[in-house]
Amino acid sequence: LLMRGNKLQLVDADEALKDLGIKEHNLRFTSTLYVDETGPAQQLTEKVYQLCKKKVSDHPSQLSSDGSISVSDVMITISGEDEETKSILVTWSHQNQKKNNCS
Amino acid sequence: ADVEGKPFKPRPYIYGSLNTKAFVDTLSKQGISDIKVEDRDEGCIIHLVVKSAKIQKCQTDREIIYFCRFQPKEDILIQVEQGSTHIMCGGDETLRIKIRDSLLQCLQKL
Repeated sequence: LLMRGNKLQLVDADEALKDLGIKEHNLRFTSTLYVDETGPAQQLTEKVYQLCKKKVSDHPSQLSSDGSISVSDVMITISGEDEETKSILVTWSHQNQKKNNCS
Repeated sequence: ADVEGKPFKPRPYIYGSLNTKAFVDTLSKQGISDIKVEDRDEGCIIHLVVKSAKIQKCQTDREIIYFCRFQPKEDILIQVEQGSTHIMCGGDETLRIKIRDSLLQCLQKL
């Protein structure tokens, strides 16, 4: 509820914050998993992409030309091109996690 | 009130900038003591070294079997800037939540 002039108005929370001049704190996470997998990183990227499409079917998965996978605002990047152990970096925002009510 | 049958929980809005000293104190109270703070032009980098859970293996899919593992020691980097924080850690979810909750205690909420 916001007081605008002489009137009380019910407004969207994001709009209320903007009106009050408050900027939401942007909290992001990156979790890294290590996977023992020989072969090129691109091969693992493709497998993870297929897994995302299958397991998270209610959110569209996209594979970018730079090799990163995005599912909603979650970004997945695989590194370790010629190494036997690859790193899977998953980045997401706290705000989006709350909105989607997922853990 | 319900939204599409799910109980509606209003999410708290976090705002403002992080008080680094309060955050480091809160982490210490959680038993995380190996903490280094490096000041930068636009904030700081907090480096934590924490013993992680024992090496774990997990099967992520029946068709594609991967063995994921955590590092025995996690090097965690927290990039703090005005109005934003980025927590970069390994796959130990218990540890990540402990750090997240410590951070949320040190931010203003609506």
